[in-house]
Amino acid sequence: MKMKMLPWLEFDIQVEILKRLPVKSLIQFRSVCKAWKSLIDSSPFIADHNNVSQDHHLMIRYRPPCWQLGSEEVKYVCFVDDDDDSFPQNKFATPPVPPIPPSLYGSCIIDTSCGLVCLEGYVPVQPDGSSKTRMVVLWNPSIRKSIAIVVPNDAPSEFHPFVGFGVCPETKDPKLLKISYKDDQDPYQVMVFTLSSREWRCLSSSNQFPHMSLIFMTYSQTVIGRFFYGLVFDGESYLIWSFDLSTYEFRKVPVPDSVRQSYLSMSKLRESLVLIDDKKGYSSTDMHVFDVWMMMEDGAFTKQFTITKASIERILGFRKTGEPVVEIEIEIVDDVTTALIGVYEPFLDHIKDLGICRSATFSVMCSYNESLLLLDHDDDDGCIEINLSQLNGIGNIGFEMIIPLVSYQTVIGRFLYRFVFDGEFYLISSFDLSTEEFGEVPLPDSLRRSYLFISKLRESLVLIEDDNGYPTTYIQVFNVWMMMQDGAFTKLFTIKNASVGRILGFKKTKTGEPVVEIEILDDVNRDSTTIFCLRTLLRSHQGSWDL
Amino acid sequence: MSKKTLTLMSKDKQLFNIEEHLAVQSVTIRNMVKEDGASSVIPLPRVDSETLALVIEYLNRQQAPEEDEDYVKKFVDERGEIPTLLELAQAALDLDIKKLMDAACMKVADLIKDFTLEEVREALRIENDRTPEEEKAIRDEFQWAF
Repeated sequence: MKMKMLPWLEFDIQVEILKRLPVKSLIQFRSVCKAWKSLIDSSPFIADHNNVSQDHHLMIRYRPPCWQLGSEEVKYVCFVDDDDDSFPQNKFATPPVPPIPPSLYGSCIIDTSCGLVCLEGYVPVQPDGSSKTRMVVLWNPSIRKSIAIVVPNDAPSEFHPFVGFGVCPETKDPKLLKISYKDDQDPYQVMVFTLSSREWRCLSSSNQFPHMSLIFMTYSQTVIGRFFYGLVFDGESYLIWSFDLSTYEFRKVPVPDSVRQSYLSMSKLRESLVLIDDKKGYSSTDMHVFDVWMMMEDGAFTKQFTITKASIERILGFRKTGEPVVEIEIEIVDDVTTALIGVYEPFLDHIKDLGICRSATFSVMCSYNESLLLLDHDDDDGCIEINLSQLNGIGNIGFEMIIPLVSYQTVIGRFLYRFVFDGEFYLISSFDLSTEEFGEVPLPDSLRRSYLFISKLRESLVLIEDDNGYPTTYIQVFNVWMMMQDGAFTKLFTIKNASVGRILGFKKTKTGEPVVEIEILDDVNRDSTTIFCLRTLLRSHQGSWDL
Repeated sequence: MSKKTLTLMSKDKQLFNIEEHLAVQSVTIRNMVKEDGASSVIPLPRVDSETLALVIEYLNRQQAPEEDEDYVKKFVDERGEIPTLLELAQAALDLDIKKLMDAACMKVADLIKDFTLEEVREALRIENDRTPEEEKAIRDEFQWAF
């Protein structure tokens, strides 16, 4: 066949072709000519490209076994989620490590939206660990680029603010939602960050979060279209709220009565919100039976199917085909459970092994479509942007599926100790600042369920146990435990004083006087909290305060 | 009522007849018919006769709507040469026949996605307007992709 000579190719048609190329080709083709680079790097093209369907991927984050506490690396594996039978052959053997700050501790995946993976963790600001910054990293694995965003935290540290993430589908602007809770009288404070403005803004009072619940399920959030969905637990039953990423309006989403008191998690199946009701719940006797409820167009939930298979321990998410990706616990060695990850094929009643074996830490799955988002973001004010080249070999990023607690860390010698909460128990992780190795400090059983703070007294790690726990009673009782040379904890003393609200730390003096916070209710401003640094005698309960 | 026929004229002055109800799948032609009745010949000065013949073959297809997606895919697959596809895509863009344009561009994208830079330039007739040093600098921003 004769070659036709094209005198030129209209730029319009070049744009149409480029729009349909996979991300990796576009990254290469930036070098074809000047016009292509400016096109591919331009925000309208990046947004437009995101509207043309791109490869769908499943990403699984896990810790491989060979159980040595804390020393395993977090691994990421991606699968191309094709409709055809090639799944799961098409897998990225060594997917790129997210270029996140090397010291992002306790990082976990919040969610994915428009090709971006949102991770959250903490970065110590002072070398001694006395102050730290909460940080969110937006990571585009397809172009291996990420941006770190500082999350402002002005709420009292004991209330872990909730952070949500979603990309507005109309503007392709990544947005973060922060909900912090102050106290029973105050409404929730809601702030929104948009990457286009690079600013956190408080939402006006008309867009307040419905004052209804205390416990945010950080790892149960999902973005569908322009709605962000969050799952909350009010102590008795589950509630779902939605947040409109364009209008910033909150709404309650009705949950079927029959599942409100179940053991629920939220996920996404194709582009629909699903609730997974684990019938087994917290009991350890029966096998798991999962009811999957899907939200229909009218907003009501309908039970779609039930997954009953004895070996399935957890559902991580769903493939595009609707097949669940599951964890199967395989063995228990020295109280350590490991699990295989596979895809359950309901019609064959068979679990297809994905070749992943995790350690005791739960794995996390998310799905994303390839996208160019963040390609147009340069390193400038407000955000710290990190290139992969600077951060080769970063692997140890702390514990996952564990709630990191804000001001619950301290540095003693070359060890950074931090508190984590696995949903049931407190744990203390140690991080060796020289060797960058993680470890775990065993806690006395009696403390593992208490309401704890970490602190330091002279050069020893101390735990402050709030004996009153969460409900506010009149007299605060604090037990102070110290870690001895052998690593065991011993109760040092008890502080009982009606006016002490919180112990902030200890003076370095021999007596180790606590620095405390006293709440003062004055008539003018009822909610004001004043911090006093006081000298007090540990042995004296009357506590003659001198300022 | 007899079906009305339109006459389209290619760049090289060849004439093609097509029934009006089929021709108006092209939004461009539909607008022209609406504006002046288009009783005379419609000139398409940017589309050559070979390409126009293809476009007309596509417009004349007798597919059930549910098979249309597969048909258009197969239609462009059978014309897998990049130069032909580019002409077809260009004509479909000019004539505003969205499905054909989508399919032709998708096919080109599929063919070139694993090309080297030089192959892409040759296939799409694009001149490299950078020095080798400049090119390398841009490449280095995303070394992993090469």
